[in-house]
Amino acid sequence: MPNSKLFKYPEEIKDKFISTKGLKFKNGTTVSSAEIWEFMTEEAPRRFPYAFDANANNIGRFSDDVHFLSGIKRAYLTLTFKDRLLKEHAAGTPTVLVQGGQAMDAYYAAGAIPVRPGLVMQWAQSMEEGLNLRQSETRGINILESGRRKISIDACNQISAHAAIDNKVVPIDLIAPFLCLRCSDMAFLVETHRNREHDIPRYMVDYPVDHENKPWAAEYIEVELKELITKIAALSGRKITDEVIFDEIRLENRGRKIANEIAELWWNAENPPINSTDFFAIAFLANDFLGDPVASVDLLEQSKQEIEERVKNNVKGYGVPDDAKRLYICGSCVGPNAHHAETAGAVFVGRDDNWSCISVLVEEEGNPYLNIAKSMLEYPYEQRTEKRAEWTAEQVRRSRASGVIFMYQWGCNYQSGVARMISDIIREKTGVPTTFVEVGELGRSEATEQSTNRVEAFIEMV
Amino acid sequence: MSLNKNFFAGVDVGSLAAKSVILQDGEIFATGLVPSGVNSVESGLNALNLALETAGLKKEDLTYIVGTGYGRVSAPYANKAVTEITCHAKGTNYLHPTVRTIIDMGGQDCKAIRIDKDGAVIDFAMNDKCAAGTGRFLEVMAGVFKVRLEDLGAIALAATDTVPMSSTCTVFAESETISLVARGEKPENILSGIHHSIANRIAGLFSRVGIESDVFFSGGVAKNIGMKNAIEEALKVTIVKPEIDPQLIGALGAAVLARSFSKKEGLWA
Ligand code: SF4
Repeated sequence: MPNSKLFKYPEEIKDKFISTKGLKFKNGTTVSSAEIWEFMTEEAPRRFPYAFDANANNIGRFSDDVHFLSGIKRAYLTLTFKDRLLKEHAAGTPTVLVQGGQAMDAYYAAGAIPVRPGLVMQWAQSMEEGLNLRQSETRGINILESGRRKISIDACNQISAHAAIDNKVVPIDLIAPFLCLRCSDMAFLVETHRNREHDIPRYMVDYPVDHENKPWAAEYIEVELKELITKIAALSGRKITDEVIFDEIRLENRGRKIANEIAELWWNAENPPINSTDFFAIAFLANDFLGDPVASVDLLEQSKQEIEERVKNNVKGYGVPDDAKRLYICGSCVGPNAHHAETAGAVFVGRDDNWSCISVLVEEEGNPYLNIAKSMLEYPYEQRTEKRAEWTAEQVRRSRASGVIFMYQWGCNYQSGVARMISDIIREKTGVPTTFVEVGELGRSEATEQSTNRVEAFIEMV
Repeated sequence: MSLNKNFFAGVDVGSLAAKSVILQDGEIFATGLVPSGVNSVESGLNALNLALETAGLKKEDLTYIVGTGYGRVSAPYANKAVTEITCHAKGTNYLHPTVRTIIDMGGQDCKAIRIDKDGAVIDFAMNDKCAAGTGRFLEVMAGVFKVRLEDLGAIALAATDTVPMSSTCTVFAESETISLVARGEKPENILSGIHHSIANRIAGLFSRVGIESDVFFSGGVAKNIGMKNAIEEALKVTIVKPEIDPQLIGALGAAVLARSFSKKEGLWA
């Protein structure tokens, strides 16, 4: 990466940007767009230069579509994640490791900030400031390798998150993943944190992987969720009532609904109104909420307005190639580089992993624990493989995809096991070409030739 | 030679060799093949210059150049870069239009490619995890037996027996081979086992993409007669005899694409 340049937001969009709404946060504060602009153009490039590296291979690179102003705010949420979490943590809000592909409602309702392994890794990388892309990735790789050395070289790259927690690179107060065994990293997670000297309490939320035709499954998870919320509330000091949980459910449902509406708008638009990076960021926001569901839902609403405007005026997102091949992405925790795919002539139209959680709303009346449990059991991604593949095939049809790439990480045993079966079922049901690619370089910008070559060849084929 | 015609070049920079083909009037006009060095720009240019020299042309005489292979990302001399999967498909179709299935074995990977009547790729699969089953693997084995790479296949054909070998890891296969040699196993029998283990690995790639006749074998390893025979046996097919050096197919496909891209871009009518 010797010729990397740093990306800058152009001054000519400043006036328009600062005239837009700011972002509301769950602590009741609002950050104005002028403050966001100041952070994104002055402070952040100084503190996190790697995030502004314009190298096409930079997998974490922000969108080039500087006129999609919500995209800049979304980058702001990403780059302030560290500051926001450290501040909240210092003020007594528990940070909780969550894993296993489930919803966040229960965690946020109990007064915690849930963090998935991907965000733990980003957070850990950002704890040292002023690094360029190579230095930042070297830092990430060192954390990853320390995890592999300590636990197992057979673990997927997500072991970095466990290593970062175990080595106290980031402060986590509770380890509370769902034991969803379609994630083979669960064994390594348990291995990292069991019998450790560190003092982080653990609560493994049990999840029946094989739950089809098991009427007891929802009640079983309900009991688990009650226990989880009680454990978190003991740390956060929040008094939990059904209404508190319903408030959170309503807020997160709103985010999920907006994300679904955006997907429909995007899929049916004559021209993709935003590029792959911005589109996937929307799914991520509605699934993860980046440490603050209030700010995320606010941003989703702003994004939707901008997208509606673009669809009305038939504006194509910057970076989306003409006659783009429409690719649907399958698999967990990893995906192809959006900038690279767009340069090669494609655009991403959806991904099963993130959209699975978003596609199911939680009922807003009755027993909130049972309602969350029921919604979890409905996630298409968590059904038996044929059923999951059928849902994905339907997504492929609705998004008018012209190709499907199933990508999985080296060490991800379940996804590697089902990749071919799911790809074959999708191909059979939709007639759309499919391929599957194993990658070993998650989150790295260098030495990615093996996977980019396969993705590029597939795009040429489609 | 008339210089008022258009010339199109394809340059394929692989991990072991850089190749180039110049086309004129739909005919192969000149070719170049040189070993790859660490500098892939230089390797590509060396191969291209060799072909230009043979043709008596200068680089400025070329209407369009397409780069392919792992070195395509750094090919400043090329107008466009295309993956070698597409290029092998186009190159094969250009020479052998009846071919529908290609086995491409290069220095660092092997590919199973299915194509249609126009040479468009309809499916492909590649080896994922290791150099086992590639030219590099055979190179390591040639080193173990201290023979020339190009002689490996012929030696394997003299086998009286085939030693079963593991096909999953180059490093493990090397130590397996050394221990077999130490136990007094005949080199030709071990080499026959190695070729069959690679052929089985390739057959595994075809379990997804399927096989349709005719079948073609491209890439540097296609020159290895032992490998060709082992693949024919494993896949129960007859491989079409190549009309040119099979190592040049990727570069040929790139040149074919150079011709059609330049036409699309209106550089000639
Ligand atoms: S890559 Fe696979 S094994 Fe690793 S965390 Fe994700 S789902 Fe689990």
